[in-house]
Amino acid sequence: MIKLVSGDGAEFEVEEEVAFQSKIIKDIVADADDVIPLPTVSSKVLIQVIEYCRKHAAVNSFPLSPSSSAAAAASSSSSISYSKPVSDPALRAWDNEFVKLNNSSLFDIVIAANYLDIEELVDLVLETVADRIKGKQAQEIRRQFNIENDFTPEEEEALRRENSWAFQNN
Amino acid sequence: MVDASRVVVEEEHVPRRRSEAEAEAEEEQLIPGLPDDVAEHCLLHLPFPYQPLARSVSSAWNRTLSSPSFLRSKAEAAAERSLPYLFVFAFDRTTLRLQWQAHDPRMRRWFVLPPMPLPAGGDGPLCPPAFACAALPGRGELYVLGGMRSDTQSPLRTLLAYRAATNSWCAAAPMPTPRCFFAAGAIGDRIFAAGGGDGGISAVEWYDPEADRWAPAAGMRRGITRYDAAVVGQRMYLTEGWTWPFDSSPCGGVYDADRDAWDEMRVGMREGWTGASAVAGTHLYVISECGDGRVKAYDEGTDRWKAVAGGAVPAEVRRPYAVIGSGGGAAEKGRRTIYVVGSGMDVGVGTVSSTAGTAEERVEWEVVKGPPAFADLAPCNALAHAYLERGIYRVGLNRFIDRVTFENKGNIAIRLIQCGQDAFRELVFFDLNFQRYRTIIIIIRKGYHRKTAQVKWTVVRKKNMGGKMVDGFYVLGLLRVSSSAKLTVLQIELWNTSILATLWSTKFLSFEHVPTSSMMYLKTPVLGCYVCFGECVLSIVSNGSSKSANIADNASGIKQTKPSAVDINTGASCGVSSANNEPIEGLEGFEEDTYLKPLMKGLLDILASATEFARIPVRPSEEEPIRKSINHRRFSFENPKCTDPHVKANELLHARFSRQPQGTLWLTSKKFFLLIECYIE
Repeated sequence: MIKLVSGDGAEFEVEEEVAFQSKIIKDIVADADDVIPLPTVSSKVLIQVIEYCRKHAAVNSFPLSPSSSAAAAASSSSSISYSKPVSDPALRAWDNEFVKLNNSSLFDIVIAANYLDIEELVDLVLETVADRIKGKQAQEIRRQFNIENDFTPEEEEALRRENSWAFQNN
Repeated sequence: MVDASRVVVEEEHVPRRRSEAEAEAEEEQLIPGLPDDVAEHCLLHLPFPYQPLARSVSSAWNRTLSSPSFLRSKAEAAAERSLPYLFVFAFDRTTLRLQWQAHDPRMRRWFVLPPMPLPAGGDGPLCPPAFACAALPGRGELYVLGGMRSDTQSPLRTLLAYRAATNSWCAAAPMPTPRCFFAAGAIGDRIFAAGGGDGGISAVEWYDPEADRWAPAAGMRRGITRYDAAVVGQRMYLTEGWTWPFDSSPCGGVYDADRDAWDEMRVGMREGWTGASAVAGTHLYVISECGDGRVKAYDEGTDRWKAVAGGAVPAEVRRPYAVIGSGGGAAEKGRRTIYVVGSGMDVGVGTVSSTAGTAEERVEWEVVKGPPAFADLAPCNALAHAYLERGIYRVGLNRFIDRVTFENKGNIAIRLIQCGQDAFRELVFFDLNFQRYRTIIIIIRKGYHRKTAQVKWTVVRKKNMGGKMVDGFYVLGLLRVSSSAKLTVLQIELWNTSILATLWSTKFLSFEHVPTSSMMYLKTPVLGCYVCFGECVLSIVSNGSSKSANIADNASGIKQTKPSAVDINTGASCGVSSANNEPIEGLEGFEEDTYLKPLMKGLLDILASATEFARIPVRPSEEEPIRKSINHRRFSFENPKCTDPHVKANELLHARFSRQPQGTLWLTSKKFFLLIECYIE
C-alpha cells in the first residue's frame, strides 16, 4: 500500500497498481518510502483521480476479453501509446460518465493529472474539453470558458469571414 | 508537469529571462483556470476543421491557433492517427464555377473550402477536368496543378496549395512545364507531374513542398495524355486509357520513384484499365466506365484484373464519377474503402473485404446523399486526404531552429541525441562548437524531489570541454527526446558564463527555463564529435599530445552516460584533422575497438541514406572507381550498387573521414554536421 497525502493533509491509502498509474508516483516509490506528499493536489481532486486510477487499474489487470487485452498490449507497445483510445467499451462508458463535470472541476483534474503524469487521464480530460469547444460559435466558447473578447468588432468580423466554413449539411 | 515553478535543477539558479514575445503571450490566459501549456495542448485536440473557426474567440486564441509552431505540430501528427477526409473538386455545370468541398465520412458532413484563387493567366474560362490534384496528407496539404483555359486551349503552369490547418489557399512555385490533362501523384513527400497536353510532354517533374521548388525526374520515353493515373506505394501508374486510340493497345507508363525510372505498363494492366482508379493500401481498383460500374481489382501476379463481387456502384450515384480509395493505414485497421463521388455530391461508399481463405474480394455499397445545395455540381477530382484528427506530435525542432537562426552567430553546430526511459525521462544533451572548441554533454533526468514535492530536472552528468567562455548569448544546442511518442527538446544557451537551459516539451508545448549552474570546464579542445547513432555520443578530444574518444552511451541503462575514454593509437595513417591543424587519428584508429567499428559503420550508413544525397549525380564512368574503393576499405559491404547515389555518398563520406588532409577539418566538420542535421530533421 502507498500512502498519498493531499495538500490539505488528508491521507489516502491506495494499492500500488492504482497509484502506479501515475508515472511520477512510480518513479518516487522506486527510490523512496511509501508516504508521498502531494502538496499541490487538494483532497477533493485527489479522490477523483484515485477513483479514476482504481477503475483503470482494475480493468487493465483483469481484462474483460482477450481481444481487449491484446489491443491494450498492441497499443502500449507502439510508440503512439500516447492518447491511445480506451478499447474496452465498458471502461469507455465509465470514462464518459467520469468526465461529466463542470469545466472548473475538469481543469482541477487535468492540472493534477498533468502533475502526476497520468497521460490517459490528461488526454481524456483534454479531449472532453476540446469536444466542448468543437462546433461552437466563438461567442458560445467565450461564454462557456469565461474568455474575454478583446477584438474590435471589425477585427472579429474580418477573422470570422476569413475562417468560416459553409456548413451546408447540418 | 513541466511548469516553471516546478522545474528546477539542483544547484545554483540563475535569473530567468524571457523574451518579450513570450512575456506578452503570457499576459492573458488562453482558457482562464488552465495553464497556457495545458490549454494549448487542449486546442491541439480540436479536430479539423474546427481550429480555424475558433480563431475568432480571442486574440490569444487567434495567436496560438495561427502560430507556425502550433500549425506545425498539428500538421506533423503521426500518420497512423489521422483520419481521412474526402476532398472533392467539383464544378457547377451551368456556370462552370469551380468549388472544393471536404466531406467528413464519419460525421457525414460537408464543408465548403474557401474559393480557390484562379490560376495566373486563368482569367479566362477554365476547363475543370484539365487540372491535376494531389494531396500530401502528412502535411495536411492538397495541391491543384496546371489546368487549361477553355477559350485559348492554352495549358497552365500554376500550382495552388491548400493548407487544412489554416483553411487557406496560396500560390506555390509554378511548374516548369505548362500542363493540362496530365497526372499528378504524391510519392512520399513529393508531388510528381507527368504527361499531359496532346501527349507531347515526356518531361517529368517533381515538387518539393519543403523547399517550394521543382526539380526534374526521369523522363518518359514518350509523353502520355492522362486517362487515369494512380500511385501505389513508390510507383505511379499512368495510362492513356482504353478508349483511345481504338486501333491499338493503349499505352501506359510506370514510374518507380526508388529507381527514378519509367517502365512500360504491363499489357494486362493497361488493357484492363477501363475506368477511374482507387487505391486502398496496396490494392488497386478500377470502377469500370462502361456498363453499370463494376469494380475490378488488379492482381499483379497474373497481370489481370479480377472482378470484385458484391455488385456495381449503386445506380443512385450518377456519373460523372470521381473515385478515390482509402485504407491500409492503421486508422482504418486494414479496412479498404472506395469512395465514388457522383453528380450532386452523392457519395457511394464501398467497403471491400476479402473472403477468408481465398483471394476473392467483395464490396458492400452504401450511399450518402449529397446536400441539396450541391445538386448542380459535378465532380472532376477527388482526394482522400488523411487529415490528422487530433494527433500529436512529431513537433519538429522548427521553432527552435527559427530561434537558432536568429540567435546564433553562425559558428555553432548543434547536435541532439534521443533517449528515453520509461520511468525516468532522461535527456542527453550534446553539443559542440567548433570555433570555440567546446563540447558539452549533459544528461538531465526528470525526477521527483521528495523534500519539496516537486517534479524537477536533475543534472545527472554534464561535461563541458572547451576553451574560454565568452560573455554573451549563444544558443549552444538542442536536444530531442522521443520517448513514448513524446518529444522533448532542450535548448541550452550560454549566458554570461552561465548555462541557461530551455526545455521544450511537446506534451504541453511550452517553454520553460531550466537554470543550471555554471559548468565545469576542461582544458580540452574538441576535435570532432560524431554520432547520433542509436543512443551514443562519441566525441574526440585532444589533450595536448594524447587524444581520446569519449563515448556517451545511454543504451544500456539510466546512468550509463559515463564517458569512457578509448585510447587511440597514435601514428595511424588517416585522420580526422583538428580545428587547430593538429592531425589526429580517425576511423582507422577506432577500428581496433570492436565497439566503435559497427558504430561508425552504422553512422556512415545512416548518413549516406539521407535523402539529401539522392541528388548526387553518379556518372557512368564513376561506377568502377567507387566499387574498387568500397572493396578496399575497412567498412566494406557486399555487392555495392554503385549507381546508387547513396552508395556514392557513403563512399565519399568514408573517404572524407579516412583520408581528409589535415588542417581543414572544422569547415568539413561543420558541413558534416549540417548534413546530420538535415538527416535528423
